[in-house]
Amino acid sequence: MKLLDISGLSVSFNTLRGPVEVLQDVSFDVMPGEVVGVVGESGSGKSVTSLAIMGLLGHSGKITSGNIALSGTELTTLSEEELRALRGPEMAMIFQEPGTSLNPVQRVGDQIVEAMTEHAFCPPAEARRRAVELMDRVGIPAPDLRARDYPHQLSGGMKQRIMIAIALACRPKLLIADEPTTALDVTIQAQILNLILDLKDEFGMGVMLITHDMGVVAQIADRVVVMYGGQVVERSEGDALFTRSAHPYSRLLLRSIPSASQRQDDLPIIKGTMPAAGRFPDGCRFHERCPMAMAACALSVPPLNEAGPAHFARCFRTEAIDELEALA
Amino acid sequence: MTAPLLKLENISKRFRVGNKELAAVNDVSLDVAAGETLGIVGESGCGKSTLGRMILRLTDPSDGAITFDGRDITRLSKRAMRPLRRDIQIVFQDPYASLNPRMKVGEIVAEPLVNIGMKRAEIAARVAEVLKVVGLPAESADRYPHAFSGGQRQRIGIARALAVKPRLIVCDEAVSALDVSVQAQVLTLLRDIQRETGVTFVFISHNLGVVRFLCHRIAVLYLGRVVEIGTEAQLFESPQHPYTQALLSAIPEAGAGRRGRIPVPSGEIPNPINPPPGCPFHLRCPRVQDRCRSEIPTLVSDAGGQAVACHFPGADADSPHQTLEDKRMTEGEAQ
Repeated sequence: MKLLDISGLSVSFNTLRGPVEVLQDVSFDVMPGEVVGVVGESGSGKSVTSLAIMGLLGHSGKITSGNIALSGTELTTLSEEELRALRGPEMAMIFQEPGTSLNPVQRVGDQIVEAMTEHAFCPPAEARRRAVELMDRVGIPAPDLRARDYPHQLSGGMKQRIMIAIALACRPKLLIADEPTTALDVTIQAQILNLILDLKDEFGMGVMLITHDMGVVAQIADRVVVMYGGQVVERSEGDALFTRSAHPYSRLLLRSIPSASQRQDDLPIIKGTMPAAGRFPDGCRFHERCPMAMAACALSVPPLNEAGPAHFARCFRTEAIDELEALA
Repeated sequence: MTAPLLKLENISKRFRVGNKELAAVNDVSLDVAAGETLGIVGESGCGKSTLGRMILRLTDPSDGAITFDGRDITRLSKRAMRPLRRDIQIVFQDPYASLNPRMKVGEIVAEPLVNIGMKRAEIAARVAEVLKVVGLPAESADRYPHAFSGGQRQRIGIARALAVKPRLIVCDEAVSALDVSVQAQVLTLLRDIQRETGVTFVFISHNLGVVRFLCHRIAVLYLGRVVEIGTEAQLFESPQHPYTQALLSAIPEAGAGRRGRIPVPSGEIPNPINPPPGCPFHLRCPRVQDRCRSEIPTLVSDAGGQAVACHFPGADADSPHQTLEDKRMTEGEAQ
């Protein structure tokens, strides 16, 4: 059974100028024990998707249509109290800035304990023992001593390990990681990504990893969702995105990443920038920047067309995608 | 060989932290030739930004000498430095924090021109000229920074640096805050500007892909020391220092068939207030021997100009990155 099943999800935010739609018709799923990478640039809607799942859109955000099912339970109709009961044991989230997500005036060990006792996951004495175990498991040296530290006494990498320990405290079935390594140095990033893979295998949880970094996706995602302008523009198996991406945006984006493993003489340029929510053009939201665009692209939103086995691209011209090389 | 445009000799910077001393930069020597881009890479706390600030004399070195165009500028007073501000400019990381929100873009770009005493009429022409160079429409001059995206703001920052026709621009993480598609635009812009004007760049970054695209030579810093320096080809094709090798292999690269765990040194960068004795990297180094724990390795240069500070330098057998020799062999086999 699918662990997470999102279908036709649309989200709007209330602004001074009226409601602005930031997600439109987003659909994808996560299976148990699988890592799904959700990748996109600023403003693509990838973080809003995760907040919608967690029920953390706040007062101004609203799910206008679509469904989110977690282990078969529909989340969009739950009360705040019912959602809170699911956060922790069923789904947990780690954020980009571990420094701002931890309580600065509470010992880190206590914060892990609290994650368990709040959900009556286990008695306090056992929670205390498990917190130290978890700290050891996420790679914190001398965990019984470090448990008494306050967040400011720890490095960024160590704080992110604490966040992971808190997220894992109640053994969630779904872990949502929103840019978990973006603020970290590259050797520490590699350590944290390795850890997420180890923990996923050990606990069998599903992971939704949100990132702007195609390299991170290549390293840990079994399947990939590419977002642009609040929509899913491509969905595929991990490797298929890199060998035969079927949407012009994904393909150009991949080629515009400067590589450390080979010298590039030129980086292809995607002209312009991603439009902000509320200013998306009619038709395909990428058409104004797309070298392959034709008249029809400005008229209607392309559906997610099949581009291969388990591979979909929101593009009218996906069958002709190889023409892109000559045009770009 | 012609004299370098910028020469750093045994530069150190120590800060007082409580009653202890922190050596942010430790005995760094570097040459930058006119028209080249020198990359300075390393992780947080390695001293790369402090080094950049010292080149601009925004921070004074504790020891060592900085020579610009043959002139010792290490101890120049603020007043004496002023004419040199025309020659050395900087582009900062955060395009949101480095532009005054209450000044129009035209005023921001004109400010360094006013500072060098350029005439009003000439200023307007020069502002229009540099805005064009960085790919911004002329009417941008009358708008405020908030009206621009991150990428456009970084173009404004570059225009401001270019306005006075500097000979050297220090770019401190200049593309790090930008999305990939915008980053590609700005990197290409920087490279084209260099090709047209011959300006010299010192390009400070933690992103090795970006550095490989833009830089001719690269210095790798760890705990305030240069651990390796070489040309782009030397450093990326045949890194000799185990830290350079670790950095390169820790980068997740976009591509198929790369799923899985990355081999990476355990542990974290030591606290610079309390650095380990001996080689700064020895606590995390897979090749560590007794000598590394007590003796600081010096930077030794080979015939090709690649220099490495390691007691046991050499290609890493476990590294996914081939040495140049391996590469030639496999290419030979393919033919």
